[in-house]
Amino acid sequence: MNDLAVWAASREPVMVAQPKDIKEVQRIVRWANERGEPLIPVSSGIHFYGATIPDNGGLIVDLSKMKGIEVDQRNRCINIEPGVRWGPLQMEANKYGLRVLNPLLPHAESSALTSILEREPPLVWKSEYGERIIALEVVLPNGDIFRTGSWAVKQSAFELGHVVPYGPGLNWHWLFQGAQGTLGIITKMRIRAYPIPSLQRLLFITSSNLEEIVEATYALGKMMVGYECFILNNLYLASILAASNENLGKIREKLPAWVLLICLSAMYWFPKEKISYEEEAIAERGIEAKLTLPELPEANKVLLPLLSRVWEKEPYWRFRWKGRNQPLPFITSLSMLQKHLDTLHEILLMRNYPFEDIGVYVQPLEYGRAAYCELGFHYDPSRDKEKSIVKELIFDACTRLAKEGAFFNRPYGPMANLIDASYKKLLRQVKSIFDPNNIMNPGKVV
Amino acid sequence: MPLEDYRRQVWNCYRCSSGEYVSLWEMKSKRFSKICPSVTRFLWDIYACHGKMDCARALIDGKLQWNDTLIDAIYKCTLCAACDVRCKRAGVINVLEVLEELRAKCVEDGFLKIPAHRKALESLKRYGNPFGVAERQQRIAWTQELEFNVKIMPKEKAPVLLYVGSMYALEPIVRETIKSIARVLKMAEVNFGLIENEIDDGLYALQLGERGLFEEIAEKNIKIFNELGIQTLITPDPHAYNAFKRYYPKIGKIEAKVLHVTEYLQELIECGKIKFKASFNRLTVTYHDPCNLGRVCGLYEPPRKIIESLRGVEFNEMERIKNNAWCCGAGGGVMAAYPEFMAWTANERIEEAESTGSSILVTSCPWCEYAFKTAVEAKKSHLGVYNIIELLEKACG
Amino acid sequence: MEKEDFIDEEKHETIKRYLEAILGPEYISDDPAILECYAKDSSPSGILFGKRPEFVVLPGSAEDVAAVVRICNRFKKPFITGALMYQSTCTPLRPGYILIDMKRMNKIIEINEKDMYAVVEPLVTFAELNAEAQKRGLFVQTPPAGMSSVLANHLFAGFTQLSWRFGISTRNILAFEWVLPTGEIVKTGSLNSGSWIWGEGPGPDLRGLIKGLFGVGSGLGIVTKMAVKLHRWPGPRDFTKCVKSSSPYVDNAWKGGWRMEFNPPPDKIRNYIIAYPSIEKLCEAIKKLGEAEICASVAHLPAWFMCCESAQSQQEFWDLWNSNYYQTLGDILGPGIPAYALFVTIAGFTSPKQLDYEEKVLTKIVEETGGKFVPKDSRIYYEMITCYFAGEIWRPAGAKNMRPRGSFVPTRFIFESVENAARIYRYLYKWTVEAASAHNLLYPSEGGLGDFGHFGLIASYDFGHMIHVAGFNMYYDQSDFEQVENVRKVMKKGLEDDIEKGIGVSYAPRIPEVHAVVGPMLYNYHILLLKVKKTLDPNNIANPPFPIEVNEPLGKSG
Repeated sequence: MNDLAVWAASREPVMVAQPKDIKEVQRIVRWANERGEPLIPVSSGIHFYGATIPDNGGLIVDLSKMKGIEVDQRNRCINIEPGVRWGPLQMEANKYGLRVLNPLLPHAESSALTSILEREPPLVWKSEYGERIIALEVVLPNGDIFRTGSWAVKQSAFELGHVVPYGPGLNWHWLFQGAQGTLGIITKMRIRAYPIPSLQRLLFITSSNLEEIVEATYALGKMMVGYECFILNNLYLASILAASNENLGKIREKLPAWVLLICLSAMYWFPKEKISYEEEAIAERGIEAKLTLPELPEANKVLLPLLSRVWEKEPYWRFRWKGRNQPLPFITSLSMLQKHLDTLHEILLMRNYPFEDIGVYVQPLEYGRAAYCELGFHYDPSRDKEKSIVKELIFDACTRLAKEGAFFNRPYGPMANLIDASYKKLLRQVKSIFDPNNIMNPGKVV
Repeated sequence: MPLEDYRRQVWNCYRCSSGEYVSLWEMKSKRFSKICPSVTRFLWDIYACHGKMDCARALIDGKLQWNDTLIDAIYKCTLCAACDVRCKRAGVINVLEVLEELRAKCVEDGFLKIPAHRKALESLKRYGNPFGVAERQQRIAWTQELEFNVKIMPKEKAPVLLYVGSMYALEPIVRETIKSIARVLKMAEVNFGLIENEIDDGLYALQLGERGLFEEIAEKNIKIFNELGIQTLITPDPHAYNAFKRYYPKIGKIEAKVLHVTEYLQELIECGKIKFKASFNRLTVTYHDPCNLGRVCGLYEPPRKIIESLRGVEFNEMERIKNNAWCCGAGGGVMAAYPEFMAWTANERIEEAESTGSSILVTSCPWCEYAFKTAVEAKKSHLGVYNIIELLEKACG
Repeated sequence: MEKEDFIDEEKHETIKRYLEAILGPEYISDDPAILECYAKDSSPSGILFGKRPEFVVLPGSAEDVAAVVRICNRFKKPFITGALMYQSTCTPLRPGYILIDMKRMNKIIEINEKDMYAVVEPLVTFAELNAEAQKRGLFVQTPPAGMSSVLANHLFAGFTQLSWRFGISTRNILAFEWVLPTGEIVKTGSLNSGSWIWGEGPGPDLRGLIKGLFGVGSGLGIVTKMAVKLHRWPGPRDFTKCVKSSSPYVDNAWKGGWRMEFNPPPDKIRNYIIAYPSIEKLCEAIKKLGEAEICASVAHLPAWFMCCESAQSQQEFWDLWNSNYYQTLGDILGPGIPAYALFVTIAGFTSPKQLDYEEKVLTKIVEETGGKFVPKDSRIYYEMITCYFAGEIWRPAGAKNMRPRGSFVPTRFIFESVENAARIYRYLYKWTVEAASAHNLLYPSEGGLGDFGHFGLIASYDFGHMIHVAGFNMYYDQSDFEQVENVRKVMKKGLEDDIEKGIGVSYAPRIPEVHAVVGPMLYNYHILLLKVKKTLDPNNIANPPFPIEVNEPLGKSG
């Protein structure tokens, strides 16, 4: 399978099944239970974190054929199956005047369901938008179907909107998130959809100094402005903007070290007035926000449409620099970013890995109350040594950054070792409740 | 009303805990968020108003018997009425009445065993004061320290009666205040007198639950006041003021107009009968609202107006003021029976006063003065504690 | 009666010694007078079936709590926890419980201004946290209740007026420290790395075990510290500067009530009441406001609620109610024509110009949807906005729903989409009148019970993505057990009806008895829930029977 995690051993699946509907998924799961056969659910065509490696053998349950999308325009929700990719999803939503909150330029083969389930953050930082997941439909490890939230109501005398994420009883939908398929197979997800802005203005705030960018981010968060808002270092930005791989280095040199991009948006009513007062407020705070990058005037035109799109070209933008990239994602405070980078710098020095080969993507969450940080370790896949160094770096970085408060809430590979013992024990207990026969992606998370 | 008549009210206590905290829109900090000294200090719910409502409910329904814990909770309460006032924001319970009824029932049922209280009641009965001072003459002994003679009624007549109260008459720690009051009245050329053989206002008895004694004292006092032919009765003691304004009318009518001394003096300032000759040198002052004057009787402005009229004074309010004032800890019999609790409560207020950056804490109640002066001394605080009239006296030169 | 006769004296004394050894004798009690104060709450169940706990303990730390829980496990003694215990079920309904009163754990551990969170212990109240947060330009969104514990309310329900912008309190929980029913202490979220900043994970988000729409009543453990999200406070740093308070005494006589006004600067916060001729039109407005993504708070408050808030005494409540003043919003749509009030707040989070912009959009939407602004110089505006709503959404006001009869309980909470809100609303009104009449809870001379012929409130979340219809309050005199029993019957009937009709059932299971009935309708979640309970609480000592009864069969599916 196409799982590119540097820490993942290369394993071939024993079998692959491609169910086309939930009934087939149920049959597979019941079969696996009878035989004690591990099951590894997979939805995307590409993976970065090793969650889909069949460490104990077993059957890959490839859900990519389940591609249903149902748009509930009245209630602003969309039901998606695991095989749905971001591109078709966004297109379908747009037909109804809606949009979904996508992450930064996902791979065309990324499953939207998995991406959301595994907590890949959206570009939109509005805290008002809340949680994207409303409900889940799951095939439990015993083969039973389970639904969360008000989606669990099978019959009602009323037409229901199915918009309540919570319950029944507990917040089951939280348990399945970040689980890497260890508690069941998600066969459908109901997500929120949002209105499409009628006017957008993408602004750029640049600096050679990350701390200035962080202060600007905090200030913008205080004002509660903007929809898409994210920070890239010049390597990652060049990887997106460069017309060709060959050009990438030159583009990168032109660009400022750090760029904060924020997209002001307005809905139907008096959109220009809204954008105008927001821009004015930003200027009054002393934040210099430009309409494009002086170094690359076409940046705005290129980037604005990409905010809600997938990356369609090859190679994937994250791979353009050296062919491969191992992202290391964690949550932290914006104010800790520089410290983390300083620590990373120390680690890289010890192994002669150039800091310039690290891509940095910072996704401020909920107006900057926290930040999702992705450090992209680039390497040449044809050089085993580079891959091996990256693996060591990652192991080292995890441990040291965690000591500084970096929170690895997506515990892939070595990150799973950072889970506190008490939480881990409870995870095991929960696992034993759902999957007493330990057939669901065994060896992952706990 | 007998306790049983409060059954519906106490059953409908919603346990909202409003009675433990200052008004939610007026809360300025976590540090000074509480309003009930009892539950803040002793923690168990029984010390909070809702706990006592629960106990009242259970007593009425025969599900609870008197025991030491219950008695302790009922009497470790200054009856500051904070919970009563807070409850009235949302609820339907006359909390203060229930608290008073609980004490009355405790006495009726023969369970008032607290030695200090029994002693105080005995002293009230025998000597007309709760402090065990047998000689009635002692009540006017302080007048000997004045530079002028004070009229003593009924022998001498005056239209204004200065009702001193037992604290100012007999407690040395607050002696200076009553002398200041007399001096200011003299400076303002007020024709006033004191009662020879003045007896206590009796609120102490009521608050301890000894209703019968209170009624006796009240009847006596009403008769005495009315026979004096006075027009105005002024008192510097908010406990007396509370008794005369709120409880005496249930027993009989005081014909004279009853005013707290700050009300009276503030009127005199306004009409120019009190003139200031001296100015303070940037004196930073904060004011404590006595519960019996402020919360229970609604008098907040006259003392403040007096402070604001003094020259050279910077007035800094505390966080918990007026309806939200934190009690000094002395009332409701606590001073006599639980001096450590009083000290703790007063100390909380001292800390709040200190947090304003003021050098002086002023109040207008002898019980508060006593509590704060003793607390300040124990704490070795820099804070000076005065009655507002003492400052007024200084300002009058 | 000194001791309940079910207590095993010897075991009682042994447990007492153990508890004293951990906490010190001053922090444990089995005195009947103290126990009595925990023997009843204001819910019908608490009134009719409340029992004294066997002990009450006051732990001072998570370690204390864990130690108490371990003793409970050792002696198979059930525990129940309580913070402020307002309008919730913290009263034991069975004998022999140890009640863990969290009163000593009342610290604000941290307020982080940049990352906008606060870490609190159980006895920090909303008003206290806001008193500190607002000084720093932040606030915690606040339920319209009186005193509530921030931590407990976030776990229990957490419906606030500002959920329009900031979501239900469930999604405002960050990391927390949790004592499991076995006495182990677990750190959730980013506490795994020593920080409070984020709640999800690592991996599966186990916070889901302690929360549904409603909480689990400490049936799966006790949270001893929690980080909650703070949001940008658009008003002045000193909230109290905008407050005017009257003395409840006038001329030394108690006049009842305590009137307070909150007048925020109009360049920071503005408030409106808009009258609608029907609930359908009102819901349409909610939807459009959501699509426009404006406002800080959008809610419908019914006439009974307005009377409760406006009245300063029980008598005044009835006078107001019988005058129909609030039912018609002062005849704003014409003499005697019922009007439904939409309360809207806008705030200048970005700048004062945001207020002008949002007001413009609001005006347009009101026009389009057939609403009419209640004038700002009207009595209604003064009473309901200045004296209540304006301040109440940013700090609690102290619920005054006790006015009509002494106590109240909301009997229905239906969460739905705004599309279906009006239908549900109308259905529930009709249901309430019928059910109340059938149970002799209508008193014509007093204008009736339930919501007195007027409707419940509508609160909204996440720009109108979800709403809840709540209220249909039953007002009752707690001392009248027949009334209380009737209220209980109505609540039970309401639940049965919800189950039969399939509305509101996905979160009904705050009530342990319901799982066996509702579970099979909802993909047998109750079987999983039972497994969770048995795994986390093998000795069944964490506030049984919450969240699910362990000792009874699981109905047809069990």
